[in-house]
Amino acid sequence: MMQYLERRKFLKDASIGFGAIAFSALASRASQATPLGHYAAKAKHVILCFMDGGPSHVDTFDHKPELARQEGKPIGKENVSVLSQSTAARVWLGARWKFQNRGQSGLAVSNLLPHIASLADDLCVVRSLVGKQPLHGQQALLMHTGRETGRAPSWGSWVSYGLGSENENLPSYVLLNNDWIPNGGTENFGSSFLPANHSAMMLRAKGTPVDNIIAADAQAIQREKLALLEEQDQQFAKTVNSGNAIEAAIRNYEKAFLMQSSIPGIADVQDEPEYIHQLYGLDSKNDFQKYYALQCLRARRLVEKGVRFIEITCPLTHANNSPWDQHGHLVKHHNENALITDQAVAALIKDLKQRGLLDETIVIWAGEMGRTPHTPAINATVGRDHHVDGYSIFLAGGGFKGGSSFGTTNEFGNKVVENPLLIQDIHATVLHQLGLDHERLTYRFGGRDVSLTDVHGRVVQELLA
Amino acid sequence: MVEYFVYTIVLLSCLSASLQADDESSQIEFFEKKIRPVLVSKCYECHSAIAGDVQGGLLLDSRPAMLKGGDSGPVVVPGKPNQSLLYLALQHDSLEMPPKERLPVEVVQNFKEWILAGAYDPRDAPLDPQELASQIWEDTFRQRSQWWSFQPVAQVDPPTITRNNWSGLPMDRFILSALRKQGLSPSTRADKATLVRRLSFTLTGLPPSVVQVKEFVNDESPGAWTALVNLYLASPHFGEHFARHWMDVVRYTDTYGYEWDVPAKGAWRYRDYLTRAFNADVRYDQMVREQIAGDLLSEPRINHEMQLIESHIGPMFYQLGEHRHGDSSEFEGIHQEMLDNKIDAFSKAFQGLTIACARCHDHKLDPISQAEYYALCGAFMSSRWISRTIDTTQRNMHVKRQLGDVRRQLQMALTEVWLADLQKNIHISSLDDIQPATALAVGDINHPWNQIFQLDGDPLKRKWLSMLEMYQMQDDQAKAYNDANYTLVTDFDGMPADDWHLDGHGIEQIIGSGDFTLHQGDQFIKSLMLSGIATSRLSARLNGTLRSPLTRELPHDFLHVLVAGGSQSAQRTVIDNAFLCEKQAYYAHDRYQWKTLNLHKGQQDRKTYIEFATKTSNPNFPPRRGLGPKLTREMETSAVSWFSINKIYAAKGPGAPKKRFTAFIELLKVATPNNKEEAATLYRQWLMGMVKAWGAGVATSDQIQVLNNLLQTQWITKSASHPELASLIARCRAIESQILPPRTVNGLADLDAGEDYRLNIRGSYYDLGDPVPRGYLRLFADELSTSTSFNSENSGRLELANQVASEKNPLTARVYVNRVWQWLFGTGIVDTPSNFGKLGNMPSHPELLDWMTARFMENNWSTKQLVYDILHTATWQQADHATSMAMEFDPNNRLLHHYPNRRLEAESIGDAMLATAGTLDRKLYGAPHNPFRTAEDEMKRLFTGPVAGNQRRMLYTKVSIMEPSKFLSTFNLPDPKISTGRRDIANTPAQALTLLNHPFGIEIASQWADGLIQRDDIDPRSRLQSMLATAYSRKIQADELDRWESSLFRLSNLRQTKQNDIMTNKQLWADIAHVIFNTKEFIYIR
Repeated sequence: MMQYLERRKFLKDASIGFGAIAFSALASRASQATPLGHYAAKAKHVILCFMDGGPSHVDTFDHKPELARQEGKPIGKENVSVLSQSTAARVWLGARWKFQNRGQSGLAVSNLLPHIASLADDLCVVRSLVGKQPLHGQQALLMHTGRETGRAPSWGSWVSYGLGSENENLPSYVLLNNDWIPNGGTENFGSSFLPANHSAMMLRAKGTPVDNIIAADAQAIQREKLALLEEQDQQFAKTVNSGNAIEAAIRNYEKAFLMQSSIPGIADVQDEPEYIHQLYGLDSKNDFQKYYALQCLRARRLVEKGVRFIEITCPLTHANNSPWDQHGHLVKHHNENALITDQAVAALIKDLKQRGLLDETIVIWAGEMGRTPHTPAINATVGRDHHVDGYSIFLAGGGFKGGSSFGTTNEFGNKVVENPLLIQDIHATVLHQLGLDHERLTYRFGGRDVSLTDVHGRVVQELLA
Repeated sequence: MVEYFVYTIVLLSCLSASLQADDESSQIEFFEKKIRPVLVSKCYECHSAIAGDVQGGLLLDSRPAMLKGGDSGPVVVPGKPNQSLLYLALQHDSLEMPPKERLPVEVVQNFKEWILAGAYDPRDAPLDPQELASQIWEDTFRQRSQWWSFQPVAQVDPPTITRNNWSGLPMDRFILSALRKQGLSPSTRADKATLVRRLSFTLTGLPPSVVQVKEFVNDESPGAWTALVNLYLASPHFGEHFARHWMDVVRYTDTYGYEWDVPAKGAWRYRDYLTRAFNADVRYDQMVREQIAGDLLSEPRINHEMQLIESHIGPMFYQLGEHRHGDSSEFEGIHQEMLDNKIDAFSKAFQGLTIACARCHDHKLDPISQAEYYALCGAFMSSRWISRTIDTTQRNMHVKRQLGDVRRQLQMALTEVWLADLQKNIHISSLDDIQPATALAVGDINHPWNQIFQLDGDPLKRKWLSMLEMYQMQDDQAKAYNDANYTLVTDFDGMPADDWHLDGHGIEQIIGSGDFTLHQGDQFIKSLMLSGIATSRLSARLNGTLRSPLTRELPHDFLHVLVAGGSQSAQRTVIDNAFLCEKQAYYAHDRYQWKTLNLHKGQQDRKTYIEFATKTSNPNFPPRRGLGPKLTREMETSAVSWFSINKIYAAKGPGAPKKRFTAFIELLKVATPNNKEEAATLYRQWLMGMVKAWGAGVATSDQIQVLNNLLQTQWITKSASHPELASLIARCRAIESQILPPRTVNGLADLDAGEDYRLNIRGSYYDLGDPVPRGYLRLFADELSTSTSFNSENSGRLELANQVASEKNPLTARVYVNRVWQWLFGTGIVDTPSNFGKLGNMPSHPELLDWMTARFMENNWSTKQLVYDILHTATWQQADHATSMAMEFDPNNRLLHHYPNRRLEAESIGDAMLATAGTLDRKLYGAPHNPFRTAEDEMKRLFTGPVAGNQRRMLYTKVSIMEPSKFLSTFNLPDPKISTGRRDIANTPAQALTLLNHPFGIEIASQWADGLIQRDDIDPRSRLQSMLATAYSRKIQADELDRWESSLFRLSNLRQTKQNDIMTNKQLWADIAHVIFNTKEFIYIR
């Protein structure tokens, strides 16, 4: 903690030329941050590209030729499951996009996601995730907090709590939002019983990036106000007992002051070269795509600034319940979602790689569920419903095995037949790569040592290079 | 099981057991007291029939099993401890048992002694796992029941303190005694200005006025403090502030969150109910009863001034919390989760227990079995989850009477006008004129004329007679068909059958046929009502609900309802008490139609009922966006909504009953016309006869149907501007506009036989065990009683309420007294206020807590008396200074060696700004306003509200689960999904950013400045002095003023303000106000 006089001087200096001094202060503090990992980390950052609503696994990463052959035939009683919206009379529905074996690894990825497909050799695909309930809110909370009921800290908060910040002037957990809060609400990104500084800071795609980040006053005025505030607060702090809380509250004003310039700086991508804009798709005429690309680019910038956990959410383009939730119009809206996200996610992976950051950054592409390989009836607006018995996600970078797949569903993609995984297994494995033991990363709450994975989770060595 | 229990109780009464090999009773005693409990608690988990995976093949749950032993052979050799593996393992010799835990030496010694004496063991045969489990539970239950908070509230005497010149008050003596034990002493008394500010914020959440501070500081009289305390206790803002405290505990919300954030109907009325209750100092046990079973109290609490049944608002408590997904009846799991949340909130709020932890298995640490969780589920789910009218019948009584009178006059006038209309309009030519080219349907008002209008003389007569025959035949057939296929369920000719339930003041009496809804606009009448029930008999702004019995008790699969309705009235099918019911069909037809309802009788295990409700009485109105009719915001909030039901039949099939034609037979039967002229006369007389019958209130249903048909024609007037009617209609409307809209609140109703809930094995709703009788915790039952089920044939909620609100319940008053202490000190005597179980923390002053609890109950559970007493202690009046020694010994101040200063709660920060700026609107109560938002979301009704919240207290900001006020959340408004006993006080940069840059602070600062520049302060310094004194409620020092003054001048330079303009420059003063709002002193109480 800075001493009073130093801080006073700091603010004084700031008032004669804040910019340079502030950033040097930023830099010097960053080096003092001490990671709290349990063992040596392979990776330092996580970027979660949340495909909320549930992209269809059998149309993206889980190739099921049998499904096309049986298309239109009733699925029968034996294929009905409580883990999907299903009845015996529903009929199989083949993939709406062609699959191809890609790259050196020959990993099968469909044409729905051409840019991501071109990076097949970097992808570690998991095809056997099993959820709890075929419902968005529950699954989203399960994925984020390890419990379908929520009321627990989110994944990002745990990482922030476990590793601390690499950059004192930025939160270690940032949500890059696209004007749509996924089902389950902001609880998906909250710190619950962990200290509040571990909840996600929301950075919006459009308009003012962060609430209250734009100074209400001109800089000189604000500096004068802060100086007066500082003096009055110090007088108060000296007269009261619980000095620590008040000191911390005073210190937060410094951090707030610095965030006012550091965050807009990161959010503003004007200084990125043209080819980077094009790589991500910032030149797109589609506004949804453009803003999604902007958020992906910002994600990379945040990684460079030392942010630990970044989540990017999808925009909602139509009056559905969530972006990838195509109960109808599967082809139209999956194509639209792919247009918005595919190029930018691929660009993010490529860009990290070319900067040598992919080794230390885990990029995760995941929905909260998959979609049924069957449908009530086949027609022009056919869709797929909710399915959590075997859905696909991928991880890239951060020590995950590129060009690989793990877990198997049956010939219809209707249930897991080999190596079922829980999302908590993914949590455990990702934490492991960050140098955190999921069983030891706990917080005392309600008289118990609570963890992200609760009683579940194992480190899935098979996914690691 | 019972036998075993009694048996061990007897044994426990022996103080010690010694072992004499020749005396069987002493053998039994020794085994039961010293051996069995150890085996049960330390070994059975891995070595008994209940162990999932028996370790080493060894069972220790019966004598034969022990003697036989496991993989390593016998474990007990009677008489030879050193050859008994069990004894050796307990010694942690070669084997170590229990693993990771070495039992105390005397326990091991007991085993040695027992084996030496022959290892007497009455457990002849192994028990089945279930019995064993219950035996183990008995043991566990007894042990856990010993926990401090489950013991009766002790009668304690305050300690006697020698050399006490601090305070002789009993509470202070407890505190002082504990401090002295640690060699500590209390702090000095806080200065008077600090005390006023502390008192004002603590009791009302608002800062004191400058005048109040000054008066108290200058008041040297001995009663000054008492007068001040009484003043604040009497403030209406006391109720608001304490209501907000309780709202944390019951997870208050105005919306249901999840995907659509639908509104929680009546939540804010419950908020206002709490405010009134705290202000009126309603006994806490009464408040408990009301919130658990206010709808079932034999003498509900009535608020005569507001014509409100207060007690009926209480059960809104259950209806708070998140309501997930569309219709929870469609998804297993969601419903159970929501119920879990309700049980969790109930047990934490009223009992400081975590009963919800027993959903999947017996509680891990407290004496709460899994079965007890499900016993409570049954109590909660036996009631229906409905919306209830909370108005007394007196409300609107006068207006309704007046309206009834004028409407009768209107009906008489209308009869005359219509008779004249018919006299004038019904003639051959007019009847002929309107005949269409195509034939009309049988039953159309014009059908008979349509059949004869081209005839005359004999052909006409013949046609007339054949029509009579045709109508008679069709009517006979219809009657026969209807009699054969339809069972009349209820026709509302009298009050409905007992199992049909009414609620609402539009619907309280059965109507005769012919009443009508008085519509707005020139066409004031659209149709006449059939006899039956209707919410709009007097006004469409009154409300009503009709609820069916459980459909499984109805005779057939389909219901056929003859109904008319409009303005978003709805028919709802509620399955398994879905907390959010989306099976709602909205009515928009002024004329009666047969509606067919499929009762889903195939799903026999489901509990279903049908409900007809005006939107005001529909617990799930407005529905989520996109479901149901498209609604404007006006439609969502206006009270206009109505329905009218004549008959309900049950049938096997979906087809509606056939139409009857008695009214037509009347026409055709009365005479046979010889010519067209006579026919026209008959026609006219027929219609006039019906109008007369209507005017006299004796029209039959069939006649009303014809009159409704007549209303579709131009023959009788429907215009509100008709000269004979205009003034009466205007009067009706004027009176109607005085009707106060109905007040409804979501709650519970006991309408059906209680239904026990089936235990979910390991918490799985796919794996159902036996139904568990509805009841409450055995922990609170009389000693020795193992039966705790309710006697009620309904839910049992009233018994539940009485068990909770009982002086004998060791937790209810204790938990509440501790909460009040926390509200006044920031931390409770138990600092885990909602967990008094094993995982909660121990009380810092257990005897003080019991002493206060006993007094609280003696003092009629009066919150205000308790608050008054605490505020008079020297403990509460201490300064917030502590010695360094005190801080070293007790850094968390658990012993209260000083008054703990702390940051204001979120709402108080906003309220303090408004109050300090002098722009706070102190009005109480009312619907919430939206929080200020930077972006709106139409789909979720997340609209933005005024930046400064209409100048009202933050309490009146809408709490949305989906997106609560960001300003408040930043300052730790609790998560509205779960019960919060104690708010977080986090310290984040977002708070600094909020106070610096959020438009709220800027706006209020500017409002303050608006007022300041109007004042004729002498100079900047005196104005600064006054501002700071208002903000901090204390005397301002000269050096402080220097600081503010020089900063003001620097700001004026930066803003290029001329010296002479400083006093009138609004921006400058807003700058100063803004800085004040940002100071820590402003947001701290000390």
